[in-house]
Amino acid sequence: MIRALAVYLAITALATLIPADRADALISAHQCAYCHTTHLALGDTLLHAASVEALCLSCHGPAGISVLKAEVHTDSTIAPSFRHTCLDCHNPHDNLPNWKGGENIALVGLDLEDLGVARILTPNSGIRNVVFENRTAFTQGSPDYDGACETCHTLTRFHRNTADGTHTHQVDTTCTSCHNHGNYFLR
Amino acid sequence: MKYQSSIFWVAFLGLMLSFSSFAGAASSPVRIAEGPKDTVLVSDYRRQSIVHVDLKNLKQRRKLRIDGKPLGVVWADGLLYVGNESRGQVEVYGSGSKLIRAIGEPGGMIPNDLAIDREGGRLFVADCRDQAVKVFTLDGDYLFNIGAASLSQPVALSYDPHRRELLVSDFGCPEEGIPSAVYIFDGEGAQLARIPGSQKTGMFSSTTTFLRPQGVVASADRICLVDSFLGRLLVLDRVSGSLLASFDTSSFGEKLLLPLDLLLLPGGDVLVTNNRAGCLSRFSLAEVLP
Ligand code: HEC
Ligand code: HEC
Ligand code: HEC
Ligand code: HEC
Ligand code: HEC
Repeated sequence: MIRALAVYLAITALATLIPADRADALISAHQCAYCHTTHLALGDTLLHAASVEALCLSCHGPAGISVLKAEVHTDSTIAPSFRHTCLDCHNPHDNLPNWKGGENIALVGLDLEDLGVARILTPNSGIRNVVFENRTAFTQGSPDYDGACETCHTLTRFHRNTADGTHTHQVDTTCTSCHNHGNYFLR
Repeated sequence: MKYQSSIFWVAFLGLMLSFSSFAGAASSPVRIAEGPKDTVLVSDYRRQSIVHVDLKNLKQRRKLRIDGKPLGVVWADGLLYVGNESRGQVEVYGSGSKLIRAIGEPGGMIPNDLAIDREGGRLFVADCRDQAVKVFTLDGDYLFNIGAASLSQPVALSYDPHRRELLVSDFGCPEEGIPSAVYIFDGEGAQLARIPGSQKTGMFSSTTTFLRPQGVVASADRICLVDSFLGRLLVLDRVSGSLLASFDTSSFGEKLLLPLDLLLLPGGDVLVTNNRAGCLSRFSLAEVLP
């Protein structure tokens, strides 16, 4: 209850304090009220991972209002089982700067350590940087291997987050044109 | 007692089995509609098919492959109407699953949901591309739009043949202060009622019943709908809009995760397309429906 109130106050305060420039930086379809509702007849729900997935998919899933369709990232049964949800890769609020000084797009990367820099909690390599500035640069390659489609990978044949394996597969392409987001990033 | 619980388990297994052949991470049930001869039809977005499910045991009877991702589905007088998102059209299939015709221009619509008024010979399409409800003849001639003045982002609809009314779920438009709502129109498009999902209760306060309404149906003076974000099946009073009942767990214990549509069965049960769970979930509403 106290937490609900605190969040409510924070949201109301932020919404009034954050001036137009910050609000403009947000996607116009992502208004605060679209994602935060504080007074539910059924009891207030705070956003947590499972409800956030339903929240995002209520618009980006089948029959949702957004034309941009998305899914979680999961295995095709070849790799050991894994499942990454929206908040594992996306910051719901803003595009963050990356450690190289540029700014990420498509809300990729979270401010995991309050450093104001886009990061991802990877399954096997701890918290890592993620650099994703345009749609033909999903990989960064040597020496950092911290592109959006390599920073997590340690077991794939292509594009791992180390020099191991193959790094020539489809470089500089829009990976998601084959590994569709709506199809779990598989093919 | 023992007997009852074994019936329960048989029914439970039936439900799981039917959709485990259909399940795994990949199955993605979206819309559900009454089908021919004791079947229900379910559109599976991910598997690109319309599944005919036997009402008695909820097992899959057969499956029609669609060339594209199916959304809305409705069956009337031997014809199957499918909203094909990838094609941007409504496709009409005849007996033997033969594609007979397409309604609308290719890419012209995102046919999120469909309903038919048999008596009036009309097809209603909730089009997420133009954010409108479009009315066609059953031959596919465009007639007019419904609710152009009031709807913001319609996503789902159903037609109530008894009252001759069209119910529409709409996501609203928060930046303009328009909450999500259920709208009721007569067959000509005149608005009869609006049930908002949120209502102001004071200068700084409001109370919310639903946020992301999807499938909606009428039953006498009740309205049943699913909320895709809240993961709930809600029963509302048609006149006051007040909340009469709310469920988040089915009779068989599945949680609703991104529920998208519902179908009332004779006897007061409801089947819900539980999208993230990849199954149909059954609820008994006998106590809340008249
Ligand atoms: C696209 C959906 C979305 C939009 C739009 C959005 N938020 Fe959020 N917000 C979230 C999610 C999801 C979380 C929870 C994040 C987490 O758990 O890490 C959150 C968390 C928060 C929190 C912190 C609460 C906590 O539990 O830590 C505040 C404050 C907040 N949002 C304010 C805002 C404001 C102000 C706006 C409008 C400028 C806004 N949000 C717009 C999705 C959204
Ligand atoms: C109320 C509906 C709604 C919800 C809820 C919602 N979005 Fe969106 N989102 C949109 C719309 C609309 C767009 C703009 C594209 C379009 O017109 O379809 C968009 C755009 C985006 C984009 C593209 C941004 C860009 O700059 O390319 C991303 C990424 C995104 N959303 C992620 C999310 C995530 C993650 C969540 C959950 C935390 C979320 N959205 C929740 C409606 C929504
Ligand atoms: C493994 C990391 C990852 C996960 C998990 C993930 N996303 Fe994304 N998302 C991305 C990347 C990378 C892009 C940029 C893709 C592109 O530009 O084609 C993206 C782009 C998007 C877009 C914009 C799509 C476009 O075509 O511009 C939306 C909307 C979106 N994501 C929503 C979601 C939602 C909703 C979820 C949860 C169901 C989710 N994402 C889960 C990494 C992820
Ligand atoms: C949040 C972490 C994360 C991000 C970001 C991520 N992946 Fe993955 N991906 C994984 C994991 C975990 C595996 C399992 C193999 C491994 O651990 O290396 C995997 C495996 C894969 C596989 C093989 C899956 C199979 O079972 O066949 C493909 C293809 C793939 N990823 C594509 C992508 C693409 C394309 C992107 C960028 C859009 C991306 N991934 C970004 C975590 C991630
Ligand atoms: C032209 C289509 C296409 C594009 C573009 C593409 N891929 Fe692939 N990807 C494939 C195919 C096909 C496979 C199957 C692997 C094979 O070659 O056997 C694959 C496999 C993979 C795998 C799994 C390898 C394994 O462990 O089995 C990963 C990871 C991957 N791609 C990442 C990427 C990344 C990152 C990009 C962008 C730089 C990308 N792909 C661009 C088609 C594509």
